[in-house]
Amino acid sequence: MKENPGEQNKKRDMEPGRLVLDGFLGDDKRQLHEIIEEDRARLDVMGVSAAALAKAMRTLTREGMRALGQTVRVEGFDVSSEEFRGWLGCPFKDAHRAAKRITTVTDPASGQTMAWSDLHIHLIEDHGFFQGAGSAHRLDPEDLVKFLKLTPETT
Amino acid sequence: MLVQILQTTGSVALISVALAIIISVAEKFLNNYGVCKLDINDGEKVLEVDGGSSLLSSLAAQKIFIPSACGGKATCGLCKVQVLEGAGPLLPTEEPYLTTSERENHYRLACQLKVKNDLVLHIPPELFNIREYITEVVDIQELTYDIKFIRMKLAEGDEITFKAGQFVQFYTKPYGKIKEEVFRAYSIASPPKEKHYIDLIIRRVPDGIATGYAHDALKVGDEVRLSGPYGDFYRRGGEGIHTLVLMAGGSGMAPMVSLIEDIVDKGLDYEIYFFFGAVTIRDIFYVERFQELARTYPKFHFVPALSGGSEGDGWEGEKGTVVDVMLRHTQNADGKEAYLCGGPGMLAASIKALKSVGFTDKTIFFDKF
Repeated sequence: MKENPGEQNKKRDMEPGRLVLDGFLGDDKRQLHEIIEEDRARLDVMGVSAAALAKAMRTLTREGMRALGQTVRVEGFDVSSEEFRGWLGCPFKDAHRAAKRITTVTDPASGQTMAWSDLHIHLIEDHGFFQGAGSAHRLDPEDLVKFLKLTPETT
Repeated sequence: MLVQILQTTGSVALISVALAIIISVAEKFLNNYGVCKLDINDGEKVLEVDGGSSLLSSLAAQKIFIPSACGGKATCGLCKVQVLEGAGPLLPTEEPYLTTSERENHYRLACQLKVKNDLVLHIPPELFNIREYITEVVDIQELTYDIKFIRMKLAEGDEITFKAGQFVQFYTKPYGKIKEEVFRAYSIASPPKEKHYIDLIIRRVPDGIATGYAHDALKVGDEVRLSGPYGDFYRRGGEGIHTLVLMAGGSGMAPMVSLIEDIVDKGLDYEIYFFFGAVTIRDIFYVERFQELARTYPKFHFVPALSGGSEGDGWEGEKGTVVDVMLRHTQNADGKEAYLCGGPGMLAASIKALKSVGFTDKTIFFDKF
């Protein structure tokens, strides 16, 4: 399917320096809908939806946010949240604004850490967008599902 | 056969070129809105601008600066302007920021509204006092690993008048991958008596465009364009107010420095409690500066606090979040006003805590960006 002007417009806002320094696409040359569809297909195989993934991320972020910088134990993870003044707009131009907040989550059992921003959660929840391959801020859906220990039964 | 192939290829190429020319010419005409008239405040100012740009940038090009913290990305909602005629329907990007009353009174977000025809506007006259300043960076200091102090000197003979707590818009220049100018709002950290310098305290935001510029590209001697002053975050000191409760975290320190120094400079008779929160000892700064002020200015009380300090870090101050610490020292809201500066979570938690001891929306002040 050909990339429509609306999609091209969104991709323009995903370029480095438009909304964020490094942009959202990395070196991914695929069309936007291809990036989203391929990630959705990978999630389908695992039986976990983007919405369920975002819900789990939001729960951790909310608890981290309440702790105002302190590290708290939430559902077996160590969670801390760091926030900055200001807001970030969504490149999908849906009028959503996300707080500039980064949640860092560590699984004490494995020592593995993942971090995401509030905008990540929105992009996953409302657009199924995990960012392009090679983007410094891409969250691989498969990695996220495994890290958060989500299964079709738990979501 | 070969001739036929060449003829066909040539024809296709010619048709493609012709189509490209037609599209290009059509675009030029379709997107050319010509010169549009902006009638401001019943003819007090009438401007002629080239159509096609946002109202925010069209006005800025005419040296009328509307407050905006996000650089025209429709995330701060500060650039509200009354457009009495000519605006067209409300855009989805504007909807979240406009109340029913504002919609009824024809408010629009200047960053989202494109000037395509003549417009009739109402702009509060005080915004005409907002100016552009060309400054030179004269000092940069690292306050922490991710927070910088930047002092800018105004051009010879120029001066700025502002209220402690207000902010300026800081315009970056293209650098690295950034090909265009962007602007962001930063609170002024210098006191109003200092008319020839503007100090900013800028914390690096991961992947931030303007803070990345301030931290990675800006150096002493560089020229910086600013506009301002903006904002309604400044000391009120209403009737019967004798105590000011200041709460900040990180770069939220900036307007507090200005507010505190202004009160001290003017010898105003307020009891000041300043609660400054950070996570670890590497995130906190200006502790000695304000401890010294507390020693020499008995009405000033400085309470720095760490929420995530660890054993052996040498921290001897209070522990807990800035909200916890404020509550330990604040039992009621009698005769008090609160001034807050920080991220949205810190603001929300602080407002909730302040209201629990009796503060109200009328006695709590903060910037909404």
